[in-house]
Amino acid sequence: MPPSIDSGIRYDRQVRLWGEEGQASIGSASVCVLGCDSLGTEILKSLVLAGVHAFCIIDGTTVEPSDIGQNFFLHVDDIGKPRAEVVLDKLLELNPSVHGSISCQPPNLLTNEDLTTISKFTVVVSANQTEEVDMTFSKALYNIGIPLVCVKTYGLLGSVKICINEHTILNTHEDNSNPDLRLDVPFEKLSQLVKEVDLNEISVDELRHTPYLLLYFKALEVYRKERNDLVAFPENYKDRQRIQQILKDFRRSSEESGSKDSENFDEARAAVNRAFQRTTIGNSLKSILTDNLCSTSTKPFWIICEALRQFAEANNGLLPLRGTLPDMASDTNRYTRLTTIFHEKALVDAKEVVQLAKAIEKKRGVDGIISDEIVYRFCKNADKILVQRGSCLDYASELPNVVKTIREQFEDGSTSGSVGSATWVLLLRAVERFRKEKGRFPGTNGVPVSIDARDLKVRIESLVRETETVQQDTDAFDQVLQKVSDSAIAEMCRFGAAELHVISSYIGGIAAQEVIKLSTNQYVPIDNTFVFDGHTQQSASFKF
Amino acid sequence: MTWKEKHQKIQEQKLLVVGAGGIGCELLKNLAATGFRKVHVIDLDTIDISNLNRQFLFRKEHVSCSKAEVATRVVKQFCPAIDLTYDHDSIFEEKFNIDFFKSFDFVMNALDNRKARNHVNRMCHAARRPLIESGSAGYFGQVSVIIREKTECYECVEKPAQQKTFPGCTIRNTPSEHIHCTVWAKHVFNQLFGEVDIDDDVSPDMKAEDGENGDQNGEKAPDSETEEPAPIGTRQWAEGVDFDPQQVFDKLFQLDIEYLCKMEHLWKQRKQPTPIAYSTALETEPTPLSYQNALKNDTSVWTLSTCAQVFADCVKQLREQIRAQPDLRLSFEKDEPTIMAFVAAVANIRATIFSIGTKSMFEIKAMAGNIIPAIAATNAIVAGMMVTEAIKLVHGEHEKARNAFIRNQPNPRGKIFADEPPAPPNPKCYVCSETREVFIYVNPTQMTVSGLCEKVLKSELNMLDPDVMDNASSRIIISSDGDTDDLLKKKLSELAIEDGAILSCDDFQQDMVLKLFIRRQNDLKGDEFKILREETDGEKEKEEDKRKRKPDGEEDVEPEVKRPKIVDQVEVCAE
Repeated sequence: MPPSIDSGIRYDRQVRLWGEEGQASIGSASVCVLGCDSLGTEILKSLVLAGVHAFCIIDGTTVEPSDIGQNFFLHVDDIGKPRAEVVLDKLLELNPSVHGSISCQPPNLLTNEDLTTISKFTVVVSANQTEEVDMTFSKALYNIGIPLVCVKTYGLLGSVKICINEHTILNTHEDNSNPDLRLDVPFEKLSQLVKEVDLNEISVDELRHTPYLLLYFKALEVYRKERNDLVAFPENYKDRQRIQQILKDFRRSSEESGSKDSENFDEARAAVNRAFQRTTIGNSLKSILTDNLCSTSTKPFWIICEALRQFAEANNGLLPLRGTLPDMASDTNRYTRLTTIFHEKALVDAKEVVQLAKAIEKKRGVDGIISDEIVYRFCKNADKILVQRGSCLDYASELPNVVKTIREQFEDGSTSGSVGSATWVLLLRAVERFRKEKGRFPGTNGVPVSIDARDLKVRIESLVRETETVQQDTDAFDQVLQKVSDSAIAEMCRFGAAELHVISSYIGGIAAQEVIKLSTNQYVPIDNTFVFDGHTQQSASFKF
Repeated sequence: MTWKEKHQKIQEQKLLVVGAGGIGCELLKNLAATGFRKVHVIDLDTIDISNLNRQFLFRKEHVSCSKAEVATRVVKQFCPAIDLTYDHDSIFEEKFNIDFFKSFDFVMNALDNRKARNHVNRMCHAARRPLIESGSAGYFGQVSVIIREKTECYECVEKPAQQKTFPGCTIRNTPSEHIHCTVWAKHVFNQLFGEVDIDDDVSPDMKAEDGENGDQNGEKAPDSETEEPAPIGTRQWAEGVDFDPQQVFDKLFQLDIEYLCKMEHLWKQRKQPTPIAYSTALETEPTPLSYQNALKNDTSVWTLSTCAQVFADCVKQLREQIRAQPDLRLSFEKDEPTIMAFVAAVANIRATIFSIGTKSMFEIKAMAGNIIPAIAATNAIVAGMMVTEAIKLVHGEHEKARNAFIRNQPNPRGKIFADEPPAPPNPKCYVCSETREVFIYVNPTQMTVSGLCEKVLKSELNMLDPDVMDNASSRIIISSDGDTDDLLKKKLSELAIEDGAILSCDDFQQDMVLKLFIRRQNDLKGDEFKILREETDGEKEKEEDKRKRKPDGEEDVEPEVKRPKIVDQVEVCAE
């Protein structure tokens, strides 16, 4: 059913970012958020506005005076009410088409039975939960392929971590690929069109309105004649310089102006290096098409990949034609012909892939899960698909990696004086251990900051000692500890786990962006840890 | 300073927020939740349905209310402690003068168009108030801090043109891309129902040379006055036929096209357009969709018959509006379905006539409205970065100020967020430097004083109401109080303003005086001009300067973030 005109207008500005297919994915996504403090609420706000199908809040607390002011939606009158309930009401006002539900069970008390119900969600977000909660959920979600986004704010610090077994991206929207012009392997109708053109026969005007793609083919003819090699193709800079010269020689001047310059030749010159590339399958795509999952998986993504692979096998290693051409200065007639034959050929190729995909579907017993439309889009963006892989969240096993990164920061020396982003990760882990062991955050309960700072440092040391590399290399311990300045430790105690709304807004926005990327299978999510330091605006991404 | 003192200081700050839209809503929320208590917000706009996907302070029942008013009311509900006031007004109003700006400690921009950004930049410069500038587009967002004499101002670096402009003859005679037809369709709308702009003529341009090929054959357009169509497409003409859809259609798409076909020199290298009559268009297969169904299918491409049907229905609806209010001048509004459907249908009919591929209304809307995608998540990030910078300003930590960017995509190192210290002021900036010089190429025998005033000073240089004096003769040629209106039609050369002349241009409200150096270039026609804001080698120096500040290999910044290119968030004035 086509969306109503009203919702069409409501979502217009974002549909222009991720397309109707992206909006459809968001419109069918259900998001579960653990914890609705200021951070959790900010994340939900952006998702409700974007038009998710449904959300569920799991939060066992009641509204405290400390929530007021930090969580923009909460009012003094709300104090004492279940927090999830109040936040739910406020969020539903933002978008009447979104469904919301709550569970007032604290996330850490969920039973295994409760955990099985989370399989219905598209994405689960953990907002400022403990490490145990994060890891329990990751364990439950990892094997069923649902992404978990662990988001934390602590004073001026924030982090976003994405835990997912496998994330497939249908369109990275990265625009760094070369155009698919098939200069080295023209298809039949294209060859025909090229044959029809004789640059020496046409008028100067017509020459100047010849789309540069045709000029390229003509230049290639000359180039091959010169080398006496019917399949020669410029492979390097020097060869392409020769093409440039041939193109230059094609130009003719009109009687009046005396100048040989014209727009189409200018365009031709500028695009030679990008255009004269062999039609090949890029390495990243190649590794996807040779992945074992192609031959076994029943997921649409992998079935289409297998269909693509079979297509390439049957077509001399070529992918389906992308079918889009860059703009070219040209008379309307010839440009339209070019775009038409490219478009038609792309359609023929894509139909072949559809047939292949349908056959594979059948064979694997999952008939009818793939629409023609998605295959067409897939073929068009085949150079923009990507697979990200991650691991189940285990804070203990990623620790050596954190420590190693801190040491490397030490070596390049560029961040001297300031606290490196990886160091903050370690500090956040130490704070969590402090909380776990003492039942409170450092800098709270009126305990002098200096005492808590010392206690926190002890935990940093023990965390570092637990990693194997440090156990084998005694210098390493000092190197790492040197990176953890006393002022940084004091800073952690000063925060006392305070929520700052600005940081919630910022980190919540980033987390919401990531949830949308994950549920639309478009754009490239963070892989896999993002850390932000609000003191300096420094940030970094790590794969831990 | 203790934490309490810091908080106290935040509470005492007076600040001005310009814009209560996508970023503005998030910003007001963040300011309130951070403890700012004295805030004034200005926004001219009213709420539209298409705002509701991100402007979370607004609900459907607020549609067409003032953004500034509703935002103020809703924020106060959530945070009764804040002293938030508003103006539902244009920032260009005279009452927002330098003293007004001086009454704030600093200013935060949450704007969607360059003209207003330029203006606030100048007002802040004149009032010596720091400015936090912002913008977003899709997943991309950015914030920059502007402090007089310490950082670049918003106008220190010239920004690329936002809107491509097309030669009039391409629009009127020889469209070759769909955008040409879309521009023409908007002009048709303005001519029939809106404010008439002489530059928006939609009829064939008889005097036109061939834009692409030059008038090589010396062939003239059929020139007898009798053959020349009366100025058509105008409101009076349409009123004369009572906006009869068929007659308007036939005039635009049959008679005018037949006339164009007679200008044979245009079609030597091009495919000649095919005139279409209303009755023919309606009868083409398949049978047309109804207007309502067509609107529901805005992402598929309408057939010719559907376009004709939509055209007729829209003309009738718009006619009703005009009949109800005879002096009403509608303005193009991309989110108004009738208007947008009219423009889409007209653009596609014209595209069909010129053998150009047709597009869906959804796509045409993006072109006609110059729409920039916008989502709540990015605006929340941007507003977070803005308040982070605001807190630094409050505490006088100017040296810690950062320009920050959130990227569309992780860079090769996986980074999605980048920051850099603001660049120092451009010593040749015509807004914030001592020199304030602009070099301009014109043809003094053709450019009029009015063209200089409207197109150069107001439109290009964003002055509001300039006074202009010729330095050589000390003669006032443009006066803001209208004393010199008799000079407006004069060519510059008639006032002895020739190559080498220097004009002092003074805008009282922006407190900006700049020197305009006139250079002659004979091949420019009419009011055409070229502008040089600074010498190019100055540009190079700055590039090198920037590179020096970056630790080697530390930052792999995309080109887009090398300079403060604030993208206009939404609803950029395309007109």
